[in-house]
Amino acid sequence: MKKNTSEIPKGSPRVVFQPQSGEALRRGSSILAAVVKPTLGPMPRLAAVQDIMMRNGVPELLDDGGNIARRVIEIGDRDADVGAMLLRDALCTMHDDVGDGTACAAVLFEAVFSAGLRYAAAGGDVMGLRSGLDKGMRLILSALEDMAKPIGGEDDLVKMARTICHDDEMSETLGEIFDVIGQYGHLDIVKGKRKILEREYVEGSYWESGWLSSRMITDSDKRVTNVYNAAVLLTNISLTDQDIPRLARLVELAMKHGRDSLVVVTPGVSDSVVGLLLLNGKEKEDGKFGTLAAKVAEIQPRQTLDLEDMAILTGGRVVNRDAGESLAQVKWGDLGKARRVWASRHHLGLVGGEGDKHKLRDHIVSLRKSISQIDDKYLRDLTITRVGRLMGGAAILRVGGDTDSELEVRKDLADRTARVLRESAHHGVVPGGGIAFLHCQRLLLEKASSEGQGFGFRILADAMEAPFRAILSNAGFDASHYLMQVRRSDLKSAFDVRTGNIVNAESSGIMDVVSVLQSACRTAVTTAALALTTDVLVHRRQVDPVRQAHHDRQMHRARRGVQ
Amino acid sequence: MVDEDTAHMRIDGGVFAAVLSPDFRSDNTCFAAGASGLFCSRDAGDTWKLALDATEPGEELSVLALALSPDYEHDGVLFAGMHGGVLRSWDGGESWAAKVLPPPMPTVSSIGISPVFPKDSILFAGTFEDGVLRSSDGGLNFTSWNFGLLDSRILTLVVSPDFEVDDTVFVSSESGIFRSKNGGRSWREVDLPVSAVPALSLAISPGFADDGLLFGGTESSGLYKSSDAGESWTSIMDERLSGPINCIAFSSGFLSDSSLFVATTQQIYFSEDCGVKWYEWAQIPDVMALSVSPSSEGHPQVLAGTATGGVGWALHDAVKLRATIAALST
Repeated sequence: MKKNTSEIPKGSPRVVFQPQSGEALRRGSSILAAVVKPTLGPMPRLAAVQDIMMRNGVPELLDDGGNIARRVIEIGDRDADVGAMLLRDALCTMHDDVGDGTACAAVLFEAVFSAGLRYAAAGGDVMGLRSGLDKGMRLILSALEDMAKPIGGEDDLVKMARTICHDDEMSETLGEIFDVIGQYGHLDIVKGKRKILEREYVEGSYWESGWLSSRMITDSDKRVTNVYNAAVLLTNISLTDQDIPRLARLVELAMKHGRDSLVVVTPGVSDSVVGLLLLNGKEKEDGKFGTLAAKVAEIQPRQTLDLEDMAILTGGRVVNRDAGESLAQVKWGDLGKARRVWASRHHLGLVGGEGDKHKLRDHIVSLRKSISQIDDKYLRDLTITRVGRLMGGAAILRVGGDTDSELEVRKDLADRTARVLRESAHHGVVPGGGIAFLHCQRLLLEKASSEGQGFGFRILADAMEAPFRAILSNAGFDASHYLMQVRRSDLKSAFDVRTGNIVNAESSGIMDVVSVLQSACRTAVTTAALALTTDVLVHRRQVDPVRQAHHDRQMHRARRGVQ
Repeated sequence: MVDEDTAHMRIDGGVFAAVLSPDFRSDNTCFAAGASGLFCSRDAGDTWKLALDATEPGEELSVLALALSPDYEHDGVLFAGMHGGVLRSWDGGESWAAKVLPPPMPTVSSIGISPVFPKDSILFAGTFEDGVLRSSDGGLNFTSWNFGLLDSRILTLVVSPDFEVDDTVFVSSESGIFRSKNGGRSWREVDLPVSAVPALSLAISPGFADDGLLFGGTESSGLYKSSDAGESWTSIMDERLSGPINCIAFSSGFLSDSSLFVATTQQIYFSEDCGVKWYEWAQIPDVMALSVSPSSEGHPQVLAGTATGGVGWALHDAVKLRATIAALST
């Protein structure tokens, strides 16, 4: 006799087979999808999440699918939990990569997975279905790309930002910033000291490093060092007392060639080297020769990349310890040149580098090309930052708030909106509100009959309605009523849930970033295909947390040799 | 040497800019700037007077750029660019106020003025060292706006005649041409072939809002034309224009007569079909500055300044195209 799963003691190891396993995955993923679904669209509902720190028992109010999914760490039903965590992992990964579109992905997933399960239950070929889904997904991705249009100027960027953050002040500020800095622009979003949003534009390029000695400060109010018409030594060698005569020679070289200052960018300097630089800073006849020792990042690969970029900007060469070089071999032509160099405690900036502009342009082009080929998110973001730096100019957005928690939430929102704006400038936009997917539906149905994988296409075609339906449902509209109207309209139209009218998508600012929709589609379909081909769930023994802690303590004592 | 109040004027060290008043036909005012100062003529170039020179005896004041307010007739505002700053006059060049730029002081190589300057007070200064400086208070203060400007050595700068609507400005640098579509706050490089740079001269059509027409004169690849606001560029295939194109000037009646002028190191050329066919206009070498105005008979009048220091008119002869620049004959 088959044992009822509810009779199995809690925490015991167990294996679950089809059809229970598929049903459990559906149950769990549906719960998670239902949690994030209300956040889809311009009129999102909130999810109140119990604060894990139990601070005053105040729940966290969230309207962002990615963060909500991240907060769901377990659901009671062990079988269903597998499905929930499978979807959660996909959504969290997408949130980290793209910053938006997780609710859309969840809704699409649920539609595809449910239909796929029904197909499997009716005896359909699941592996064939998976292949069909994969082909259909490629068709959708390509159709979305064909629909994409480049985003226009500041007004369009503001409208796009508003669809993400629903905050007028933030939308206008970020729209202006991205209009100025462009898709590769260097933007730092930091916590501000005032309650409002403040933005600042910084000329030239800057790095997170700074002066090595506060005695070099020239502007004591701002605690900044400014030097002009500078020769720049770039090296990954930490300078010691032995380098003093060599450094003195470089100071003389800079003076001889009519430069007004020498900047040394290095991982570190000894006190004597600082003393030499300070002394020479006062020795020039007119008393205006400036010196600055600034540090370069110590971690790799940032140190190498930062030095390489500085060398290209200034037309200098990196004096490389790893190649066995020393300051003794440095010639005048090895030094970079810049109109102005500034350094604060935490930043080093270059303005008007005198490097070869053609070389700089080639370097930027090659970095831009490499961005799409880098899979690692850290390296990809680093490369985008490098391009922004090299193109000159940066912006700083200081985010304020009434309380610390509000400040954190606004900063996170600004980060997310900035990421989406960058994507929109990079990849273009399509009509929003689920319209772009509806246009893909037509294409899928046309191809469904001609392709051998008809079911996969039809399941995807039905799923393409899901985002539109969810958006309207969240805003209190009956989607079925408007679906035909929208289908009859052209690609420029969208349904505005704020007014209840079909409007021009572009002029009303109802636009989605094409790469976000593509990512949502990819996440939903690949995860659903994975879940559909999962037949068995294996549960390990769940360890009692108290016993686990006791066990850990014993292991720790044993390692220390305590009896 | 500069001979004041003479009809045949020479500016020692060469002429860098020659500008006609927007209301030239009624006020007959024109300016020429060069290595030894700024000169003004109130009688259509018959006599010239020193409008600005160095404050210290023996010093030379080199004026590289010149721009007149579009409402010059009423406000008398003009700007002169030089090493270290921008000079502004409110009274047609009689008196001047200096705006000294912060150290290290750059050399102002070109000045662009908003076509609605009396309303928006926007002014751009292109520099050899610090890229583009923007003033939104009529030249009292300048701020550096160089986002996306990969090369800060600016050779020339032009402002769209429809700036109030399209916010468009173009600059050429040693390594490319850049466009700003947001009033000079950020720049994107346009698609000029790499082999064509540097562009020594730029000219923007008076009907830019409708025709999107722009010409770029390069150092060694001749003349380039864009008909889509700088998105794409095509080379004008004419061997005579293969050398350095020092300057380009649209006829003031361009919208009706489609004529424009370019100056090479050899002579001035003229086109009356928007740059398709070119004719020799005047055999004057090394013309560095051009400005065009309709004469009373409706023919274009070309004010030219040369690298050797001459300033004068290259007039159109109905029988034969020839140069009649008296000053340049010396």
